[in-house]
Formats: sequence, C-alpha cells, structure tokens
Amino acid sequence: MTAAAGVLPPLVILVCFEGMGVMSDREPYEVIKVPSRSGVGLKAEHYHDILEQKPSMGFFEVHAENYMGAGGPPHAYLEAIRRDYPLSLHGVGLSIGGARPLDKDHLARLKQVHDRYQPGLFSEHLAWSSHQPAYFNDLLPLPYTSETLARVVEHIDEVQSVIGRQMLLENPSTYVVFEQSELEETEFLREIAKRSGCGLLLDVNNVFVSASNHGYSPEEYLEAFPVSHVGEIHLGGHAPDEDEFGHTLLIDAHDREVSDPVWALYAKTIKRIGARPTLIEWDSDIPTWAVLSAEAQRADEILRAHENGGQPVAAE
Amino acid sequence: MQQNKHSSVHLNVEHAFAEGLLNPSAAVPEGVLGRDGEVSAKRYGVYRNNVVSSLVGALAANFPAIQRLLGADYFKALAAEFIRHHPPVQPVLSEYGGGFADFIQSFPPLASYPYLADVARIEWAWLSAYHSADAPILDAQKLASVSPEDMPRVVLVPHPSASLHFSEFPAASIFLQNREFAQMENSEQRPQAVVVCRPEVAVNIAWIEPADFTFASALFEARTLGEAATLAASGGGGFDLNRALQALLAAQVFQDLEIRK
Repeated sequence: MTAAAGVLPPLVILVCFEGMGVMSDREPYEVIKVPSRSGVGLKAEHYHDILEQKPSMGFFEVHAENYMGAGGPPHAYLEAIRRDYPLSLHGVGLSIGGARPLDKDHLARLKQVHDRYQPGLFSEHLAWSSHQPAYFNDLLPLPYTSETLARVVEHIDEVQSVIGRQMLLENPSTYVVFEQSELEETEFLREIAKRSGCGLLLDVNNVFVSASNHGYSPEEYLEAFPVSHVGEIHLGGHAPDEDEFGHTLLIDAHDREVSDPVWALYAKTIKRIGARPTLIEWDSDIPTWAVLSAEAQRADEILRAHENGGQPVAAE
Repeated sequence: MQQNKHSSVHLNVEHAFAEGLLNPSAAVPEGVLGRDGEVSAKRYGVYRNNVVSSLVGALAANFPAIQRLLGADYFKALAAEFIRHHPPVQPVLSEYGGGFADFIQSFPPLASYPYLADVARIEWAWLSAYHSADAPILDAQKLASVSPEDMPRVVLVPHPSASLHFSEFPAASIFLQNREFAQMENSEQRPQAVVVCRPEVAVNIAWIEPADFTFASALFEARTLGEAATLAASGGGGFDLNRALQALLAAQVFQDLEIRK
C-alpha cells in the first residue's frame, strides 16, 4: 500500500474577503467611539454574512477570550470587521468578583487583545469564574459585603491601571442570594463606581431575571441603579423555569429573542437616562443573521424614537 | 471590616460554592439561599449545570470528530468525567483539552477502541494549528540555493502551526472522515504518518510515508539535514530523502532555514 504524498484539500473552506489575510501589516487602529446605537455580539457563524452584506450596525462586541489565540482565522476575520465597524470588547473570564488576586497572565492577554483592536468600549462582570486551580466558565455570584466591595474595587483599580483606561462593570443575573450579604446590589455597584471610577454596563435582561428570581420589582431596582455611570446596555433572552418551591426561576440563557417585558423596561430606561450603546447578546442556539439583526433593529427604533423627542420612528 | 485574609468570609463563601460545582452529589453550600430564604438545590444546580454543560460544549467544539465517533450522549458523559478530573485552569477555552487524548487512552471503558486517542491527538493538533501564530513559509528557492557543501548543515525551522503525528492505526483517515463527512484516500492504510499545519488561513493535513517519519521528526527536533538523513537511513525500511523532503516542502511545514556552523 502506498500513500499519495501531497496536501489534501483544506478541511475548512474559508472565503477570503477584501483586506482579509493572516499577517496583515496594517497601521494601528484609531479608537472609534461606540455610538449610542444598537450592536450585536459577533459570532463566527455570521462572519461571512457581515463581510458580504456590510450591514448598517452601530457596533460589534466580542468576547475577549475568543481572540486570545496567537493568530489564525479568528483574528483575520476580526481585523476585517474592525476595519469597518466600531468595536466593544467584553471580557468573560477575569473573575473580578473573586476572593483571590486576579490572574496576571490572563490580564496581560486581555491587555494584548485590547491594544491590538483598540475598542471603543471595554467591559467585564461583577462575578467570579475561577477558584484556583479551576476555571468554571460561568459567571458566579458573590455576597455583597464591605469586604467583597473592597476587593472588587482593588481588582478594578488593577484592571484599569494595566489596561490603561476606564472599564465598565456589568450587573449580574443571579439565581441565589447569600445570607452573608450586607448591601443591596444597586448600592454595591454605586459604591464600586464611586471608589474605582469605573463605569457600569447595565444589563436590563439581568435586572429582569434577578428581580423575577428573587421576587422584587425590576422598576424599583432600576430606580435605585446609579444610572449616571451607565456607558452601555445589554439585552438578551432568558429561559423560563421554576424552582422546587414553585417560584419563578428565569435562566439567563442568551439563546432566544429578548422578551417583551425586557423590551418595555429597556424603553423606559432609555426614556429616563437617554440613548446608550445597546448590545443584543445571543450566545447559544445562534440564529440566522436576519433574525439577529432584526433584534438590533428593534433596539435601534427605541433609541431613535428617544432622539426624536419620544415620537416613534418608522423603520427604514 | 473583614480584611484579615485568614478570616475572609469572601474566600470561605467562594470556596464552599466552588466545591460543589463539579460534584453532583454535594449539598447546597451553607448561606446560599433561594427566594424566601429556602435552601434550593434547583437554584444552586443552575450554576452546576451551567459549568458542566458549558465546558462539555467547549470540548465538543474542540473535538467534533471525537464527538461524532462516540455519539453525542457518550461524548457528553466522557467529557463530564474529564471535566471533573481536569477542569480548565485558565479562561481561554480554545486551549482546553490538551489532556483529553491521554484521558481517552487511559479510560478503561474505551480500551477496545485504541485508535481514539490518536484521533484526538490529531484533532488537538488541528485546533492548535488553527489558533497558532501566523508566520511566513519557507521559500523552496532558498533551500535550492544553498551550496552543496552547506546542505548537510541546513536546519529547517518548523512553522509554528506544524506538528507531526504517527499512528499504528488509520487515525488521520478516521479524523478526516469524521470531520469532513467525506471518504478520504488512505483509509485502510496503517500505520499512518501525517503533518498538521496551517501555512495560511486553512489547516492542512499532509501525508508522509511512514518510512520517512524518523527523518521528519529529526528535522522537527532541530537536527540538521545531514544528521536527520543519517538517522533515518540507519533505521532502514525504505527511507527516501528526496521523497521525504519534497512531501514536507509541498506541505509548507517550514518557515525558514539556518545553516549550522
């Protein structure tokens, strides 16, 4: 038996778009401010749709951890998209709410991605995801106490000084509370923003999910939220369930359309605080580009209605 | 204020919460409460489920051929077992699963599928090549223009994406069939030797004659052409210097060359 020497056909058929290629020696990007329009989370499933259609989109947001490889197609695609659109960088693995010191190696990689793509916005979560040595790949909750407050502020100081810019901190969706908590979440976030100088990323779906799970009013939560610090808004879909005591249990699944009550809360929030860059998050059961961009359209209509003095504007 | 590190409520709470995430039989940690102060296993279970299912998903994304070979249910059970013993130690999940092939190899219920571990090794190499650093490819002219007296002292520098694989089984063919859903040549050949690399945007798998494998791996260990050829020839078994070199150059597995002084 003999083997035919030579290169087999490539396993993945990659389409090369204009300006796309590995090892591009481009000029450094100028930071493009993320506008107060809607954007979507960038998914590999939509790379080709975006590069072919060049849709009108306020911005794209990427998970920093997906672009920490040394090279290859992910960077080639992101470079091509970054050339045409404002970018927001969203970290999911830094474990800012963790009890132990931040992972210096991971922070260095985050800085590398940040410096390479010069995003207009940069955000992370009020949550933890690592407990040495394990990384759990979930946004886990922490009690709100003076001790955890001091630690989170310390961690944000470190992030902002290493990255060299202000970050936004996102409010979590939670399924449990801690007996040890001493502060309300809104109070905790207000104090963090005040002490660290960070901005806040207001996830309206997270507000609705947590409020439903813990039995409080999302409107009252939003009333108490330190909205002057909000630099970005997230919207996503949640999955309904119930706990063993018959209480509502909403899961922050990011696997479907934004629900109607969340749209209503969002519209009310924009009316109150003004337009902000607004992201549609859809991270599993990824829909077609048409479905995802329709969600972004819906957010854009609410933003434009606000900018036109509260009068709804017909879709283009 | 509880700033004393030795009595950190924060660390204790986190530790207790983390303990049960990879252990399905662990109780809900103390102080973790549901809506009306109940102890809700279902609510704590949401976190546990998120952790395990998201990590199973990450492994499935990294090992689609292994998933296809085992079927979704078996893969899920195997991956959950791997995750419990070897959770990721950093947050970049495209780098998670380096130990999966060894785990498969030593997993007793899979002992009668001895080729699986080699398929997983090739799949891991494919993923690593996909995300590896970009680098130029050696211009074959550069090698051709080396003088005959310098030629034995040439050291070929492997491309950062390139790795060599030898399997007693048709591992590369099985990998390709289960990744590409296509019948590939060489499917019955064994043993198999391949090089995995990504010269530009696409990852390639190129065949080399098993008889030329010793030579190729010597080059990958930074031996000179002369040393590698001597080593390969002493092993006997049909080594062919020209054929080996041409296959490696055609597969674009080198980025540069140096002449050793």
